[in-house]
Amino acid sequence: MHKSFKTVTALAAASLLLTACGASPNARPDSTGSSSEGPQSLVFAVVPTDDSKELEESFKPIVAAIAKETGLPTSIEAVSSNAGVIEAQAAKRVDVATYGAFSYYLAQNVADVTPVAMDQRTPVAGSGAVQSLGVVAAGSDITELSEVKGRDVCFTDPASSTGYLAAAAGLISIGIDPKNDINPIFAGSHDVAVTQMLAGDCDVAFVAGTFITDILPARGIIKDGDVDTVWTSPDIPGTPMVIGNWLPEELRNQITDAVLKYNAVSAAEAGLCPENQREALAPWGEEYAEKMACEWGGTGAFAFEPATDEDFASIRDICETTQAEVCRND
Amino acid sequence: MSGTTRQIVEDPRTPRPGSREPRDGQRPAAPRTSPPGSKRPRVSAATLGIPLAYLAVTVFGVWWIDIRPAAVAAGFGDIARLLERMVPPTTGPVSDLLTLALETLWIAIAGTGLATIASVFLAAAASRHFTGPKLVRWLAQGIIIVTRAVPSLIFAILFVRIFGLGPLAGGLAIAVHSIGMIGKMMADVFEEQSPSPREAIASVGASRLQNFVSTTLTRALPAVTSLVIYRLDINVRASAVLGLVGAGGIGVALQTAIGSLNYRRAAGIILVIVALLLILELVAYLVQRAVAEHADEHTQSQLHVAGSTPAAPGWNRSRVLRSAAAVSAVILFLYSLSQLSLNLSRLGQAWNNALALLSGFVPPVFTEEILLGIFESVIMAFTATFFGVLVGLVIAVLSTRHLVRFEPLSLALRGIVVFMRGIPDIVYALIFVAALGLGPFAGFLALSISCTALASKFFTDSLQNIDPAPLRALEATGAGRIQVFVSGVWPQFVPSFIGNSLFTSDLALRESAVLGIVGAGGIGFLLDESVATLHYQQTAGILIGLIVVVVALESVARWARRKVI
Repeated sequence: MHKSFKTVTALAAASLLLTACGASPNARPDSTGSSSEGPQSLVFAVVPTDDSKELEESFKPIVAAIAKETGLPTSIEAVSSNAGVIEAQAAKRVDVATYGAFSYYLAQNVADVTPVAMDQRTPVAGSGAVQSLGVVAAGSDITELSEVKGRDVCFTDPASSTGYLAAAAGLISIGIDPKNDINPIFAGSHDVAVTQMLAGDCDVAFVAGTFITDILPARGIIKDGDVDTVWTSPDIPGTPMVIGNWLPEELRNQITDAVLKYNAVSAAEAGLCPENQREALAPWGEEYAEKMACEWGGTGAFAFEPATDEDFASIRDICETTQAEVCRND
Repeated sequence: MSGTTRQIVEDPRTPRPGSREPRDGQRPAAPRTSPPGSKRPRVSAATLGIPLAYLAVTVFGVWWIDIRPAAVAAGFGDIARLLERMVPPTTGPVSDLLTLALETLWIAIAGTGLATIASVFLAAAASRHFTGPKLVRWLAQGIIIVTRAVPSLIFAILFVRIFGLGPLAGGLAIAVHSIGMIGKMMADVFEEQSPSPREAIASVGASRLQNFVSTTLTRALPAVTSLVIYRLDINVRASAVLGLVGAGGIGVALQTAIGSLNYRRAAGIILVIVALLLILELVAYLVQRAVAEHADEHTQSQLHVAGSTPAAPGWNRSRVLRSAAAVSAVILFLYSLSQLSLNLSRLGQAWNNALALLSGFVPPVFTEEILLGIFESVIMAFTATFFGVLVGLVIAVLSTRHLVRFEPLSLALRGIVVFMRGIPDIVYALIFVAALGLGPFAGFLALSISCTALASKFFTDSLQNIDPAPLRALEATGAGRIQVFVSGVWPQFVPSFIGNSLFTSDLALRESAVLGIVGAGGIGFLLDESVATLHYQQTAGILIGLIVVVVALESVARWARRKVI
């Protein structure tokens, strides 16, 4: 008993000692960052998108680029909820953020932000766009979108643009009411929607294209020929990078330039990711073959390209077509 | 009352001499010999060491999180602007919301009921008083710990492969995860009981089962019913996990409303949930009064009056009420089971599907990130528990009759605590994010609020279930209310105070997913991320980490119980 008591006392003393000296690793600067002469530091927030992995790690080179070009210390926060980031933006406490295109649609109603860039998977402009796919089990009697009428349909969740909204707009455009003409089932995630469609819980699943082309085959969850694609949505804009308008214009330009200046390969050459490099991806083409590259954002992008509010108009169109509950802000 | 009938009388002995003494002092294996000569009751290492350990972690946590209350005050304007966007609440068609709430309620009742049935057996086997084979006891303890450590999210993705999309997978995910809490707390209740009735019944030749039913289980009923209803309350609130199995319900609607920033709708849904929780709280209150009449009145609870023959218990009003309530609970449970829609044809391919999923979990991968996440979560959970326990203790003392006997105050406090519980963590997180920006401080505040709600609930319940005999005895000697509290209530309360504080940390550890919402990392964020990106080997590593921490907490709790009970 004495022994354990002593251990605890020692621990208490040690933690007191530790506390007495040195700043917390989570210490925050005192200024709130909206003064006229500009902030002393920047906060960059990222939200996982459907296919992001090692979120924080993969954004470090971008943050390094921003810190280098602006001269301001930049911290990165990986956040699990889009609402968390958007509310922090509404309170002007997050300066730069990347999240899904639909989150940007929601954010522009409540926060004073502008998109400045969007990701690009290959050197080709616009390659960051994603699609929603309608897939069926191989050999299904459904071969085109109009045949889903009256069937069980798996979606991801009501607030997913690739997992519901784009598909709902597609259904409406051919005269099928996604609420009443089909039996919608929300599976909660893209992979569950596909596996449960294959297991027979529903006849067709609408999910983000990358799950069918890359992620699920790579994980061995589906094999070539397991599923047939019966519908592909129009392009949905990729991941926007959004900056708060409360920052001085010069600083906003510096941040934008920092992000647009590099691509994954030139960032590696500039020494932005000395510890975490990988070989350039095949789709980037001959020019970059066998060169080393940085992880450039959560989606493993090649680079970012300039973007404006206009680039995300298609989300507004989807919302206008579907009049979906999640689009409304009442 | 005849001594040969089932003796269901609360221990009628005079107050135990010094409640800190082990009640089952006759156990020969008691190595803690106090030094010779010390006659005075000593403060045990657990009662001193555990609070000190919490204090130490909290001091470190305060520094590490960088807690600065002034920052909250500076953010009031932002909080107000966010709250403005939450009023007035909109519900849409109320009937739709009520349908969703009912759907959730049925699944939660089915899951909680199944967990309760399984827990009775597991808790009986896991209890320190279990006299069967050691292996069975270890197995039961292992099941209880693993089901508690593994979040229902994981069971949901497993069961959806086995049973398909729908309420069955959701109900079972809720059930299995609930076993961890109900089983643990039930085993605690069993262990806290005085051994005399059990020994008396054993000495007249009753079998182990007869003995368990007539002494242990019956005496545990008041505590067990309130804990089961509380778990039901948790399960209703945690029903967002049903979205992962396509079962819908009110939790999913709430999640969607918050995810699309439709806070007025979210507020409307929260009001419906709070109304549901208030009903549950009322039921819990009535049930507790019905089965634990001794709590507020006399020293002896007579659950059964004498019947026509001395060996048969007779009927009186309260027994009729109790039985009617029990029958309706069973009917509700059976009806809820019928809502799960079991599809037998799905089970054929289920095994292969489940195996395919599970094989993705091996070999588990541990990374530095996971260790850091566990560290962050543990620090935050303990620090939040420390503050939650302090506030919770005050609330609990004020809402029970020991010190303050002002009924409206206690009712109001109970209502406020229910309201606090009804608001999901993510809403607190958003409010503090608006005020403070992203980071651990906002997460810590949100977590502290849920710890306060947890702790005040646990403490209120155990203060209410305190054996009144010693209190009456003290009163008879002319002791004042504070004197009775200090020397009568507090010594009885200490074991459950320490146990429940540790358990609050245990639950807070799993609620630490809220930290991810504010960018404070933690194990919950990593778990969600690994599941969402299908990195199941990392998921397995995280789960093993969680199990280790929960086992460690459980061991400390067990050690503490041995010291103070």
